[in-house]
Amino acid sequence: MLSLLGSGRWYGVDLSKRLTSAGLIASEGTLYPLLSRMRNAGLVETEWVEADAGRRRRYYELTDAGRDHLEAFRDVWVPLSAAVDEFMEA
Amino acid sequence: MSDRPVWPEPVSRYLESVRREIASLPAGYRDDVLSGIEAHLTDSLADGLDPSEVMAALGTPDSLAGQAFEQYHQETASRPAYFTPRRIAQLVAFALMIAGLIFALVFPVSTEFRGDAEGVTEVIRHTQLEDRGPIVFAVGALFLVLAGVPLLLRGRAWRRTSIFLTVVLAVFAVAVSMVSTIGVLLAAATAVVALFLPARQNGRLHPPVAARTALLPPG
Repeated sequence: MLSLLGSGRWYGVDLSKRLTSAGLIASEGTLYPLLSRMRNAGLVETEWVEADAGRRRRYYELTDAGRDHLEAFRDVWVPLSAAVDEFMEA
Repeated sequence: MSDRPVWPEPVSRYLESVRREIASLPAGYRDDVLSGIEAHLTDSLADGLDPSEVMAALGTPDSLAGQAFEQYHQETASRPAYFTPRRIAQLVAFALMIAGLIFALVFPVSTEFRGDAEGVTEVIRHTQLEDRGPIVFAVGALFLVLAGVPLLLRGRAWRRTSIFLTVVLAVFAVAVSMVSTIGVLLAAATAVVALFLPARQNGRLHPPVAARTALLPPG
């Protein structure tokens, strides 16, 4: 989820569809409590953006703290995931 | 949202149901979750999707509420707790310090005999304050600050400050013991805190633990 948001600005519907199809969240709606929590933690910020024909869309993106958190996670995840792969192959 | 959308009947019933399920969550968090879901519905319906399909993909109000409560509890659980055994030890020590100060101000510790050759005519008992003067306040205030500051802190700052202040407290308690019996009480209070001082935490987390915690945003 941090990784997805790390790639740029997302709006809720797209983000929830991506995460659901990847099997990371059970249903599209469960994204929103997670986003609210990340927002409370200061990792994500949200913004209403004027879209076409006067419609407004709510976008989410990582804050600087969120980016730091993502970096910290990558530092742990990449070697860990490589180690697990190695065990799985053995 | 500024312009409140008019929802089709099933959608408004769905939202009402979600709202009811998470009604007991704090307002800020609850409204944020709801506004995210409303935005999702607005956008999806504006894209011409079928409301019942959109709602089915969102999940039942029950499962959304379950997720909302879980996230909320994880967030509150990851916050450092205020009352830990160590903190309680510090509270006990702080209470002992206050008791010591009251003792110094109120209870007589020395006895003066006045009289003449005929014998003792007057027995006057003095408190610490009377014997030593206003310095009793100064020493008392110093101890209250030393014991009180850690009670106001949490997390890492708390640990470092507690260790430092306990050492200072111990030094002063020994010094006061040399000139006053109250020092014994202060030393006892210091010992209570020192017994519960946090051990040095391991700086590095075991990788799987680190990975698990990194998956979740910090509280």
